[in-house]
Amino acid sequence: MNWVNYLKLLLLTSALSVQADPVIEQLKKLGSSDKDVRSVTLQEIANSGDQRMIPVLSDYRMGSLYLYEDNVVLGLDIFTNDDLDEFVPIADLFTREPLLQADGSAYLIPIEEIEIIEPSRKERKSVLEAITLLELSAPDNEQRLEAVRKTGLGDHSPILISKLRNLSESDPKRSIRKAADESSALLLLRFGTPAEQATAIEVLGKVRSVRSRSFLENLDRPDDPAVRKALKRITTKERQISTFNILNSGISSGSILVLMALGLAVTFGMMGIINMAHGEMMMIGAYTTYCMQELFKHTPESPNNIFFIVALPMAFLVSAMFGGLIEWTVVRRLYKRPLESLLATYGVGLILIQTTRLIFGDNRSCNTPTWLQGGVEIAEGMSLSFNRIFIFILCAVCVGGVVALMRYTTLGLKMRAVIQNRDMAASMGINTRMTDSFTFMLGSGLAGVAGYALTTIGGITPDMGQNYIVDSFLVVVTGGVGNLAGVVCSGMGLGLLNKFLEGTLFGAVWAKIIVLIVVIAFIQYKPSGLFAAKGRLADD
Amino acid sequence: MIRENFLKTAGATVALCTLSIAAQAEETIKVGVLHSLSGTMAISETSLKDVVLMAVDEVNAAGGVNGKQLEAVVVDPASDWPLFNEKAKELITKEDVAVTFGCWTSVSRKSCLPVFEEYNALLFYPVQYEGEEQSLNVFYTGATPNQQLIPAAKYMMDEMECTKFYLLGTDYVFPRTANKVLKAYLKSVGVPDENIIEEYTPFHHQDYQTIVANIKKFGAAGDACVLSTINGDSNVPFYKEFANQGLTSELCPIMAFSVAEDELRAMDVQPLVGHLAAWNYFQSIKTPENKAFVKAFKTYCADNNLPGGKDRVTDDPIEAAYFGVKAWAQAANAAGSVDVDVVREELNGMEFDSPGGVKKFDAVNQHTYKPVLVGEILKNGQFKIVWESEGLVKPDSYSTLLHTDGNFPAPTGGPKK
Amino acid sequence: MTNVQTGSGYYLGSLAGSSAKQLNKGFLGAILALACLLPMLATAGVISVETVNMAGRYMALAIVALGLDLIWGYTGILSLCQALFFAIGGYAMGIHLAQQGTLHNGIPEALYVVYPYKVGETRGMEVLPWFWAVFKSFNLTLVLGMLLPGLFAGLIGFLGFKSRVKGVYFSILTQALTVAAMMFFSKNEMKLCGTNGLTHFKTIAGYELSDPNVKIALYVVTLLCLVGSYVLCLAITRSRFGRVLLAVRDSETALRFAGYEPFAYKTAIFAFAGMLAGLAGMLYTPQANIMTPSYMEARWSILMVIWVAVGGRGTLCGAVVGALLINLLYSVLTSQWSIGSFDWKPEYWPIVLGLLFIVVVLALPNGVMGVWRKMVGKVTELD
Repeated sequence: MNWVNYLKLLLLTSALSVQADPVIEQLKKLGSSDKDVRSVTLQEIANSGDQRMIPVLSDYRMGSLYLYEDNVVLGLDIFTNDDLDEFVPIADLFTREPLLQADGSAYLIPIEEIEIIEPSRKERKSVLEAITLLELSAPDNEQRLEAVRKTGLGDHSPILISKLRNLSESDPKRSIRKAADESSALLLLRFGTPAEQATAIEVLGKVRSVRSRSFLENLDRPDDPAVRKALKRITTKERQISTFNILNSGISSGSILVLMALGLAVTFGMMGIINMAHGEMMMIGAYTTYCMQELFKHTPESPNNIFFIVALPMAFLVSAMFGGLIEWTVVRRLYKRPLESLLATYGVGLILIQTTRLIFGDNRSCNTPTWLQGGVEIAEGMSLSFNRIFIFILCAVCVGGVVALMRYTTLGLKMRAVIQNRDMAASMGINTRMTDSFTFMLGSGLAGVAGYALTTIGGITPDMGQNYIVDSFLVVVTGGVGNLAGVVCSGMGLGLLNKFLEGTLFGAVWAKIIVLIVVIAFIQYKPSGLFAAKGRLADD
Repeated sequence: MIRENFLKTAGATVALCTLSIAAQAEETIKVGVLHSLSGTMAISETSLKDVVLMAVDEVNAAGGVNGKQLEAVVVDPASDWPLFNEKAKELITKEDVAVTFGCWTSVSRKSCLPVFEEYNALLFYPVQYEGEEQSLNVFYTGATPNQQLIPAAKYMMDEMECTKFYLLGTDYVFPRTANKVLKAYLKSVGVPDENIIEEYTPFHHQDYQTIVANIKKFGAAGDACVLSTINGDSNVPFYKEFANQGLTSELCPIMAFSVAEDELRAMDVQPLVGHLAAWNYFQSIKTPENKAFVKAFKTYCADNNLPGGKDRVTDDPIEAAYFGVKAWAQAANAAGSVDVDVVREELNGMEFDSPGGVKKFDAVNQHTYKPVLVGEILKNGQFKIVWESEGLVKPDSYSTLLHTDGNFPAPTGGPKK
Repeated sequence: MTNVQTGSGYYLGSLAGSSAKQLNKGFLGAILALACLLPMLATAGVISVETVNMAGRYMALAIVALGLDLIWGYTGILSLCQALFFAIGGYAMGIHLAQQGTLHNGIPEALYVVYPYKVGETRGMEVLPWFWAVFKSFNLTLVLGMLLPGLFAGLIGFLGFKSRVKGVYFSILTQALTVAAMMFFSKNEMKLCGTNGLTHFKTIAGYELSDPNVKIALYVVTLLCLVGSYVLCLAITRSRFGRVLLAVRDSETALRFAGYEPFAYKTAIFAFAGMLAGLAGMLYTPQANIMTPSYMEARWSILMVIWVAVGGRGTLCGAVVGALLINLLYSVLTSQWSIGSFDWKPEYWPIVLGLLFIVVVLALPNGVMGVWRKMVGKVTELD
């Protein structure tokens, strides 16, 4: 076995002896206490165009670079022992593989014995700019575009201008050429001579650069027709962006409302049960997602995104199971007294909230899977976040699923039969009890799915359901009890209306108040909602 | 017969509610714990109850107060403001507690304040708040605006070179007053009106798309920051949306006044990394005293099977709740009595040790001299301390920025005439 | 839907025999006797004056329950905005009381602390809003505290019932209204003291609120108001008007065919219930020493319905008993106590109360009063 150790030793010495690499010497200079040395070194690295340095500089920015035994190493996540002493596991700068000691164990260095190389907070901006500069020559189109955009607001340097010019003339992507034009114009506007500024103003107006608005206004030349023309064009673009944003946020908040109200549309709309614990079914869905995360050991450091896929059916099933339990113990006895189901299920809600609190405690977090983080920019200033897209799709799938279930399956047929006329259905041989159970479980399961979706937006707390319950009821009532199409329309409508009010004249609070008043007025005007009721409530 | 029965049951119920566990009153000194254990505020207040009970245990282990053991009486005001008032009455009149540790929200403090003043009892209030209050029956161990807001805003201007400020908060009294103070300060140092935006959202707001889009527009030139007084569960969607729309702590840093380690436990921390928070204490303070405190708290939670166990963390309000108990015990021991007026005299101007270092009470306004720290959020949910005030900062119960004439209202409450 | 609800004999009054009626009176008498005894016990030092104060607050809440029982138990309208009317009454009294306390720069302390400055305004430029000045007079406050919620309820009832909003729709509509009102009251710009609400009251009609005698006096006033409201409600239910209300609950359509206009009756009783809630709010505020927008949270509206349900819907006595019982339980369960070796932990209260709500709804559809009647029924049989 000796040769294995020998090999390890060899590997280690080679790992520790990369000092020969001039990059390491440069990085060491970043640890200098002299500010000027640091800034010159950073410039050098930025101008080198060395693509390997992009992740290294990001680590530098986040404070993960350390100087250990005269070598620059990458510090992994800090490890804390029971005595609260902190240790840094170290890794190779470029491969990011942990460095191993002679005996094969990982290095764990007490934090006091290792020197950190990090920029001051002020310097971080220049680190970002250095990264951007490096990314200007990145092979990836997205990365390059992003970098080109960023340069416009950074510091000015002749190298940057020439690089941007190059890109603007020779980059294969049109969007990058356009962005390069905008960025260099922005730089010229901010740092150039009056003549350069004049051309810049024209270019910025032409490309409708939203970012340049405050600079154009700060020129303090309100009477300059060129500036005015440019600003006018920018305003048009801004209007487009804000319309897009209102639509985008309206649709996504609408789809959340629909998703939340969908389960309620089944239990309340079709069965007539006022399930005040509906919000708690959502909470259970969210906590199931949390449990799945723990089970699959998903953490931000070591993502295990499978948990999120498994959590979807689990959230549905667990909530449906709880729903079934509630139906079996409580709701079943109240079909003849639907208004009183409000009181009993309120009690169920109280119990569920506090039990969850006593078991899980209050502060728990659910980490979004990596593929739902961030978003996609479809045009400048118009971005769609992945989690919102996901919720929209999930919402569409759920609505489609419920409609299909109701229309095309025997179970759906039975459900509709029981809803429309229980006694008749029973006499036709339908097991109404089972059907009721299934319907209620379906509604609860859908609530669980809503809770699952909400973990990608907000946190999870035992009383999270309480925040949504009134809104959900409003959506169902406005849509017309017992009507799925109504729920979709009213959910989307209310979401859009809320965001329209919030995005234009009023703040978030007034927007919410106005939406409530609109709903009240609407119920006055159409007392049975958008679509007339069918089902048990139609007797009224 | 029936009537008799009824009277008996009714009598029993009344007896039950007036029931005081009087048996042990001789040997112990009772202290009240008035923190919500259910409802919306339980998320924050449960930890404070835990740490107060731990501090009581520690005081007892060290010999108690004046030779007597402390006995904690825990009630649950259930995040129900009038119930705070009722429970305070119960603690004072039925349980006869020597001191009460409790409250988180300003409205809960305002709800039970009249009770403490009426009976000349003592309350230790452990949370940073908007100031504009000074009662002789309350010792405030949290920060006043000048111990948190102003230094943080100054840091943003001096260190981060921000010139535009987006003041974003949940729509209730603390953010409103905090932003009033911040605005007065920013104006006094010459920030023009158009560079300050104030915006509020309802409680439990989950949808920050519009607001983040506004921030993005406001900070398009890269010199803006957000001063956030967003409360509780709204923080998660806010930071997530912030990151999703492509904003980072370099482009537009967020300085938070209501996000501490305990709240970070409930959040997906990733989008928050690199943003800032201003407090008077962080778990990451590297002194032996603090390490011992953090360790003790973790052990306490694990030993008592509290949810979270060893993963629990300490933060500013938890420290403030903890040293409140210790400071009160120190004063009561020094005074040789638990009489409110005597203890108050002793506490005024008293210096004491705390996990975050030596602190002291103001000689007059009953607030605490504290250091101010700015921390940067790390991905493990802890803070890296990036700025520290020189020495302790004097608390202003009434903000000098809002009362430029120096005309402060007189303190309320105090000994009965 | 109303058809469904009438199934199992809500109108207990008609079921009970005459001897049961007597016992019923005895039951009421016992409560009343106990209620009268409380202040005496307090002055004798047997119980704390704060216990009396607590009872006073619960009785104020019982007045809301009476109103709710009239509209839900008798008329079949499930309203989730009684808490709003309660809060309006409470705010009226609160705004009055706040002006009797400490003034800073000429405006009440509670408002001064949260005064929302406009651009250009600074400390020292605060003005008392006009709607505060209205409540300066105690007598006017008393009138407005009942009139405002009454008128508001009348308006909601008029609009809602005119367009025949029914059943669940009406419940959700009123719930939405309450939530909107809560947000409105919480806003600082409204100069209603924001989420902090109105606190730190000092005197009422010139008397110190912290004086034990004043507390007892307030209790007595509340008790008298409760008894008065009870008698009034009883009179209403026994009148022809009351019978129309029952008819509305049982079959509105049939009533309409009989030539009645249910809408007018519903509006009238809804406004009356609103006034009762306002009165309750006015009595509650000085005794609780606080009034905040949190009363308009959804849970309060639902809790009020639960009081009535637990006590026994459709019996006035049940509404009172339910309100007192649930509040007493709530208070006891949120405290720490031990009997023998059993230690109660306050954080478990929602579980016990939640179970109680379920059990009452499932097993005791007629609430506590239903059980009482059954017991009484058996006893009288044995006799």
